[in-house]
Amino acid sequence: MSYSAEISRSNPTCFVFVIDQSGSMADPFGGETQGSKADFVADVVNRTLHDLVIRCTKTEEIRNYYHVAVIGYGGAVHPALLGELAGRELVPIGELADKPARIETRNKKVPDGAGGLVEQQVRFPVWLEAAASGGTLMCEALGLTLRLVEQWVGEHRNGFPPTILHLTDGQSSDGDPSAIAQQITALKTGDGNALLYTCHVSSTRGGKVEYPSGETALADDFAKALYRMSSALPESFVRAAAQMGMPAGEGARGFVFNGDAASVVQFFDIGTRPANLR
Amino acid sequence: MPSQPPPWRVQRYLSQKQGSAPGECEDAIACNPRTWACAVADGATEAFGSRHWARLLVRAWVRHSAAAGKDAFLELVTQLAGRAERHWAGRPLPWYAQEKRLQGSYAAFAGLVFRDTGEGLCWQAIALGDCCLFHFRGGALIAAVPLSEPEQFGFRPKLLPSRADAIPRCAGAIGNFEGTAAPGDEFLLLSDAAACWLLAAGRSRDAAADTFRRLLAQGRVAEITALVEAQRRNGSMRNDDVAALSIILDPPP
Repeated sequence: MSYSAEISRSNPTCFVFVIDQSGSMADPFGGETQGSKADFVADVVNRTLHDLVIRCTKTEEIRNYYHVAVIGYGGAVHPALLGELAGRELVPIGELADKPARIETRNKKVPDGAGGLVEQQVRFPVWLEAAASGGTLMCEALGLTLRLVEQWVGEHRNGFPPTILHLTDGQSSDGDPSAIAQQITALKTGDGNALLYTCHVSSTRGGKVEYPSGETALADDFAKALYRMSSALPESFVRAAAQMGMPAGEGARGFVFNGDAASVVQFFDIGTRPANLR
Repeated sequence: MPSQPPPWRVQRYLSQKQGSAPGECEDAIACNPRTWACAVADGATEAFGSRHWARLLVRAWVRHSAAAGKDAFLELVTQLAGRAERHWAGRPLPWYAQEKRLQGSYAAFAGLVFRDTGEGLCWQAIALGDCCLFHFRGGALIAAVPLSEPEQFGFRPKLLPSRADAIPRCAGAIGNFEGTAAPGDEFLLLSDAAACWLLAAGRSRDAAADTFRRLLAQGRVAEITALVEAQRRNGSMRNDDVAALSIILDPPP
């Protein structure tokens, strides 16, 4: 059965975050007036990396269950981790944990146990800064992703397949990325093909489509092309989506179109939940 | 507390999942002949300090086996939560361990105690999660609690938390069980991977299930390890820590 490989130190899996940092990411989400998409997405990616680190923490040590890469693309394509990890591509999660660029203190509202909320200070490690400039070199970014994933599956023949979480707010400015996406999802380990999920976010409100099982709800060729690039969700991811109240049914693809801020949070949460951690 | 030694033969087996070191095993077992009590616990893989929490639970419970009732059990767990908190307090931990510590530890648990009623033996058990008790009489399984079908495993069961504020929320999931015990009866306490496997193997009349019980009862550790590894290899048993206790009541004189 595919997508059932145990994830362990001797058999890790891989997450690649591919983040659109083009100029339009400086705009707010549709219907919002404050905060750029870039700021919000950077926060969500940092929070997701934090959660992956915490998941691998075993008491006083951290176990390398995951390898992680963050690729940013706008007018240029680059590994986007900061600080000591600047320029690094795939990084073991233990190294990621030990080398955030900085750890901020932020306020978070948490339940007070009496039905209300109380503000609490929490650590917020930062590995990725918000950025928004230039075009949308999606083909080049997916080309780098292809190279990393190809190398990784060559070294981890029995691993849970790599998961690529691609977030964009616009059309590619360097050609049609469909063929490269197909090459990525054709890569496989003994446990299944690489998974490419796509979250398209929008500066205009409305028309949101999340985890569709077909193209009928998609309005145009651009949306359909992104849908076709995206992998079907294996069963464990469908279950994760269902637990979050997302109506992802059989055959649902890891694809969001015209997503809003909430879609982004759910997208990274669902996409990083393969269930077989040991 | 009974003044007599228990009328039983006990054997235990504990091994870590393949790929882990023995010191990383998060299952725990304990047995106390003074209280006639035994317990297994399975520290949650993704939680903080699971090994320490599981060991704390079983060791304390077999010392205080009167805690077979739900209220006494919750009181004991609350006390242990305080001890666990003090254990980690003040230690220099990296930022991620400090964060994880806030979430607390979690463990599945099953405890079994025997009591002499004057007219014979009875057993009481308390369990939460997917650690299981099996009761065999004349070689036949007559009780499996809290889970009795292999399909019931793997659905993120409620576990015992080490955070005092979370303990009351697990109260509803704690199961109390009891029955009579006869000389020659066999009891097994197993953590989830072995329990699930034993139920499935028993259902399919796989001879490996009987072999496992026989080897366990005889304390043949190396052969049990070989059997467990073979069952993992053929995909019948999940690669997880294994905790197993076999308790066989003395046969009639």
